Amino acid sequence: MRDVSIAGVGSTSFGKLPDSGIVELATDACREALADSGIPRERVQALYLGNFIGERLADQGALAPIVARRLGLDGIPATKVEAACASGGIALRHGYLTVTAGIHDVVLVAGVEKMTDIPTGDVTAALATAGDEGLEMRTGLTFPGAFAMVMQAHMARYGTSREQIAAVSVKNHDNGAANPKAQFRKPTTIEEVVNSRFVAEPLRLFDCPPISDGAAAAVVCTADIARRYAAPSVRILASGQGSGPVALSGMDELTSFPATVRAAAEAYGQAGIDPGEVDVAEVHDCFTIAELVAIEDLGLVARGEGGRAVEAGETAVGGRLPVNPSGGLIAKGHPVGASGVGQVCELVLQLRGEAANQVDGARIGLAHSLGGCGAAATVHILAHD
Amino acid sequence: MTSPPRLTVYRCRRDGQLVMVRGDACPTCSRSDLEPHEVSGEGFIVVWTTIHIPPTRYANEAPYTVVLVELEDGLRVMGRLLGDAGRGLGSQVRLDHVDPERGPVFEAVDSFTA
Ligand SMILES: [Zn+2]
Repeated sequence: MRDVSIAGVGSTSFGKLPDSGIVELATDACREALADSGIPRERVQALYLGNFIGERLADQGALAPIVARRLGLDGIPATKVEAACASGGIALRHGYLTVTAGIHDVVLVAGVEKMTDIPTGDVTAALATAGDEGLEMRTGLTFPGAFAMVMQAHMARYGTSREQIAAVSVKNHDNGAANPKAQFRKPTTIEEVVNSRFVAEPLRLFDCPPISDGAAAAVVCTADIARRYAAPSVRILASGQGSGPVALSGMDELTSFPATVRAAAEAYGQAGIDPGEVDVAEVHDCFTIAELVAIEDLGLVARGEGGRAVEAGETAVGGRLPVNPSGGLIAKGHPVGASGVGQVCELVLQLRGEAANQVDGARIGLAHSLGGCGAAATVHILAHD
Repeated sequence: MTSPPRLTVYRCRRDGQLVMVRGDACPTCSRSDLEPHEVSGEGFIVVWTTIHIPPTRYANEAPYTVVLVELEDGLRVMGRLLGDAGRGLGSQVRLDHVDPERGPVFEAVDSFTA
């Protein structure tokens, strides 16, 4: 197993980007990442591209070879990775695996989604394909609905309050306000969150991420190559992945996703660290409650303590463990196939000391991406090289 | 009075475990040696949600309530709730019918008139 680094990152803004199609979004992010890395384009040996619903919403399959050819990388193996909203994170994992295994030396990883200017009901239906259609989604359950159920279970089991859950949205909007790539650039308040309109009771609009366009990319390569080209590079210390029940009716506990627990255990083991050593985390806050479940499943806070920790400011920038300083999916935006790579871009900037909401002295970062309502998860641990 | 509707699921021939879908691995023995099996449609709401932003196919039905029900046999089933009056954690429900598109549809059990 070889040491693997991220030599460069690139990202479009997340938001409504009417002037770019899905292919242009991806190529923009890839070109930025290549330029950031300093590695010549000709050295790229493979492309892994995360995308979830491009076939449904942008009428485009075969996305990876199209993007490779537009980048002038015609002929290289180009593979689309789909794992619902974890598509981008798991694309990164494939890049990592091929480099650490010695199959490739330089791999381009990207994620992309194009979701705006489509009727909300169609976006809702497309996202719902990450659930179990035959058992559950045919009832009319939606993704916000599934997480509304998780929210109820967490409140009932741990006494988590509506205001504690809303505090996730407030924190992430505060962070997004300072991130130039974020879709939402203004703060919100607990009152605004708990009075926003229902999407799926008891979940409200400000508990949800926006519908977004966007792409993000990273150049993954051996640590040796990264040191040669990239002034500051960031090591990938670990990559974990797990899967879990797709249907809520198959979950032992509605307040924990075994896919995350498994991915985290693998990643902490590989990195040889415990959760207390993480300096900054970007976790999958596809809804406010999802951030609480994530930080508990990742062992960053004790079980059932997520709400209290967020309310106490422990996860704010400047707190004990800053979570989603980028604004997270809720404020930065959630172009679903891109989000997992977007998190890694943000962490690389944190570890290089160049982030918008810079965490002082950050040396170890954790990225967590979740697909479906716990169907798939991946955890990456990065370190300042 | 007609007998209350029951739900057809699958039962492991080896150890009696219930699963929802033909072809599922049994959670106990991991095999898939299953036979159809009818269970009571009575149970309680584990969690519920009322959908205000629906997928396109149910655009004209919102708001509607979806419930995760734990049946008497312990099996958990996702379904619709008729209306939203009986929604509540732990509330008793029973199967009203199985809609060919929407799946199981439950109704609240009014304990005062039962
Ligand atoms: Zn069995």
